[in-house]
Amino acid sequence: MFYPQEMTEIEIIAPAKDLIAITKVLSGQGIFSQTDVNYLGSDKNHPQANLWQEKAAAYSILERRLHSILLSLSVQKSSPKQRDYDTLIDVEVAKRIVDEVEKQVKDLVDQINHETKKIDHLKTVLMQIEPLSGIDADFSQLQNARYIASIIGIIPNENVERLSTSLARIPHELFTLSQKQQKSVVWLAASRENLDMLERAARSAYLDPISLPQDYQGTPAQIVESIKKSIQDSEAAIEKLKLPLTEIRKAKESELTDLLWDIKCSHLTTNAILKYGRLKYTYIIVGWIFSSQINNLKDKLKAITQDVLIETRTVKRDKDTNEVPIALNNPRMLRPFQMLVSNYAEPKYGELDPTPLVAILFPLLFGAMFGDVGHGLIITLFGFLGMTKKAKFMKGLGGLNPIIFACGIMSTIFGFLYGSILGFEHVIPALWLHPGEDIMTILIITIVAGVGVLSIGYLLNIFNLIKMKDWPNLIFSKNGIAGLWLYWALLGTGVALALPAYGLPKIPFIVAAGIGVVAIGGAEVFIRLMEGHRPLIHGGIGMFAVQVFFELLEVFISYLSNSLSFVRVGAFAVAHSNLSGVFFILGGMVSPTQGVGYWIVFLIGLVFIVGFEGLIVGIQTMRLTYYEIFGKFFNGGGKRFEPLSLHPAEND
Amino acid sequence: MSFNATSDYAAGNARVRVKYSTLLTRKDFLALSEAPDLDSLFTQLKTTVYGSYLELAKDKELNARRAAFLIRQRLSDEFHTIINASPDSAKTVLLQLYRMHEVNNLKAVLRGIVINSSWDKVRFVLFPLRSEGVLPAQSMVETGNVAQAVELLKGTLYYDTLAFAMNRYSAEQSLFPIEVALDLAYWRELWNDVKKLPRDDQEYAARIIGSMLDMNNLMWAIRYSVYHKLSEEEVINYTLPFGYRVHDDSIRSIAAGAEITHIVKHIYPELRNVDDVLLDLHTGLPKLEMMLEKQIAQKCHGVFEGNPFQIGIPLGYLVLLDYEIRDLTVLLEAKSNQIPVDKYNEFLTFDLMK
Repeated sequence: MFYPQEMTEIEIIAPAKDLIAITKVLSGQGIFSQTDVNYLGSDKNHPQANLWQEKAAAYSILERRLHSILLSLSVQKSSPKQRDYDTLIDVEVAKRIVDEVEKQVKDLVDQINHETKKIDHLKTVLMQIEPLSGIDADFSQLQNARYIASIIGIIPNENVERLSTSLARIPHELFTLSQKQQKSVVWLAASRENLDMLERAARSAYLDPISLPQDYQGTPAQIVESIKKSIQDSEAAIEKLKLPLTEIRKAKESELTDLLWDIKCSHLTTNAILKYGRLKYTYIIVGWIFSSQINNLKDKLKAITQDVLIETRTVKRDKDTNEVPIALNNPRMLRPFQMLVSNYAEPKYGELDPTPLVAILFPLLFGAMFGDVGHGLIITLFGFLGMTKKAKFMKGLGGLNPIIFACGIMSTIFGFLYGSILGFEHVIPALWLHPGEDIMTILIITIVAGVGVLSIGYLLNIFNLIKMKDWPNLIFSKNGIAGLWLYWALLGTGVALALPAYGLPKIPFIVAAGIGVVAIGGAEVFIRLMEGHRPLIHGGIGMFAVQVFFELLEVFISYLSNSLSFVRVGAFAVAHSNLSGVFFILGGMVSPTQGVGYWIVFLIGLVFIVGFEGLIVGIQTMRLTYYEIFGKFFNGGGKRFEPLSLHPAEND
Repeated sequence: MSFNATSDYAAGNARVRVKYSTLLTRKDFLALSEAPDLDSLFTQLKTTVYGSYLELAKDKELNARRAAFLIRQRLSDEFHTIINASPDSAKTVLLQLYRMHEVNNLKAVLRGIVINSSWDKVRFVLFPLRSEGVLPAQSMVETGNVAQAVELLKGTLYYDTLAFAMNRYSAEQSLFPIEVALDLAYWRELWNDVKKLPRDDQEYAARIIGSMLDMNNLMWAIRYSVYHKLSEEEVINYTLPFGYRVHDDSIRSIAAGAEITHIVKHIYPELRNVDDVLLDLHTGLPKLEMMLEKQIAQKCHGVFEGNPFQIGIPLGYLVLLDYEIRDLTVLLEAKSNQIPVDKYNEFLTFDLMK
């Protein structure tokens, strides 16, 4: 629970005959992440080596063709049936079915496409010619002039000037007839003896000549009318052609969607096999598996064949490695909080998984900032409705719902501690204090709590460094022992100087702080010394001193800002109680006798507080978690465990 | 230098300066170059900042092509980090510069389709773009057809450019007009974005991006004239009418058949040995290109002196890193094919023989 799932690298040498069964076992349980080792192979040119490549390509083509058929038939996307997809569908069988349906559909679809393309083409021509409607001249005559060669066409706007430049050495005319967004319709003309040059220039400027359909004659206005009529005819033809397609869909829909899922699954299987290494009669499968499942998997593989060879390699957690995929391993209750961690970064293999800490701190901080029995229960209810999928509007929040639920419960508990219900501060007794009345107390308490949380962060980082055996950073880094030492020494010095009543001795704390400053200031030198790197100082003593000064300044500022950052917890608790008060005052202004108007304002306030303030508090909680807490001990950078799955629904 | 520029660039550029110090030094390059074979080069390279990238693959998986693919991820990561830390005005230009790799990917995908390559072969020559990319590269390759692949780009900023060029492709069955159209559209947009920058930034960006544009435009004009023997009007239409030092009259002169050495010397009087280099244009052009790239690299180093709050710093660093990775790719290829240093040195932006 405190570390990512323990992983073992597994190498399986499997006989070709059992390949599919072994692949299915590996994919079926979500415990195996595949590594691409297709570069391993004794004979790449062996016909067997290309077999899977060909199969994968065939499935890919069939899948695409079937998609295209289903699209033509307007079949809606559906989920695959709940069954095992444990065999590869025969390519020939699938091809025969696809060929047959395609044959029926293709002719109709081709005709529809033909008519659609015709409409598109006519619309394009129409768009080009419509701006020319005002020109009272016969286009065909213009294009067949005896001495002048001309091209009417569409050109990207940015090429117009360049086209003219490119023809600078011959007499020519270039008129922009119309201009829309990125394209212009232009008429380019020159003497017929320069036709070659004209065409070369037009082609190289990407001028796409408009070819007027042969059937259309006359002035642009006459052509426009004829084209509009042709478009209407084609649209009517398309409607007629769609009727038999509907019949085919009714008859074949179920069969074709099932076939699609079969092909998809077979395609996924062949793609997985393509990532295996190939020897002459065997295949090499490499990947990562949960260590706890090794024996289970071995048993299952041996049950398929005794000829399988299995090698395993465990990786210790004390290495700063990126090669091991990360699967977080938390009890069901904590899993929603994994999302918050993964959203920040996946932990590295040897790094503590911060999910348990987040699962405690996140709702706690939220509840402390948003303590109200009524508001908390409303949030709890929303979270519950979302979790049980009873409220559609909460569905979109998916995995956030359990977090909302937990935050709501904490908010309710703090509501009892603060004696606050729906903004009414004195209806129930405060089991602890009223934030709105004990402002200084709550602010001080939250800072002290913040110091505690930050110290936990430091301690966790120290633990990580010990685990990684990173001794230099453990001792000297600003988030290691020296950092924690200096932080507490400064806190002690501050308390001793500012609050003499507590009777803390000043000198020991000041000396301790001095030691901390030396350790952190000279960290780079000490670390280089321990690691045996030379020179100890780069760029001279002066440069080093300036660097140390600014580094220490940054450390002091971050101690201060990180600690004070937790003031926001108290500040939000105070703001929450006062914000409700504002709506009571507004309600009183609308209806001094606490009539309907008063309660309408109260309801608006309720929506505002639960919706808007709740969101802001959520963001602040996330900020505290990510920056103040994670920043102390959590580096992340691991790569996510992607289990091999051949079930089509999981890969769709 | 305005207060805004100072506050906008202070944090981001400080980080870029730190990153700048992680560029490989002469000592690093010499050590890499002295590696006797590819495996030793991997070992040596793993001691540098590229180590963590190479470790993404197992030793047995590493070959020159895979290593080149892995180390390119550093550039992608750096673009990502730097763009996020840059002010909004600079982001547009930096994103546009990043898009150059997407344009190159698009060209590589189309080439892959034309030569019937599988996705497994094409994927490792692509630049590892992060999620900002709009290319459905794998689906495009799997169509096996240029026209269908282009249809997959509907709705992207490439579609309109490609729609015009596809008419040419259908008629000529050559990717040349498509690649030219993509290049011209890309550089035109990048230059437009540079022109929209605040005045101070514009000068720094023009110095770097303008020099890159100049180099490309000049090389296009010369190659179209000399290698492809295109007509004057075609050369003009396939080049750009603007630049930093290379102006349209020079391009038009090249298109009209003027003496190329004379024009190059006129544009870059500071370049030495131009006569010798361009004595044979066919062999001389790649050398001229390298000379111009080295000049750009110098300009990129130059922006780190003086005003610290300007766009030149992230741009300069990213261009230098790009050159560094290209140099490493040359080294990887050279070691993998056992090519001696005097042969591959001329293809490096970093001069090992100095």
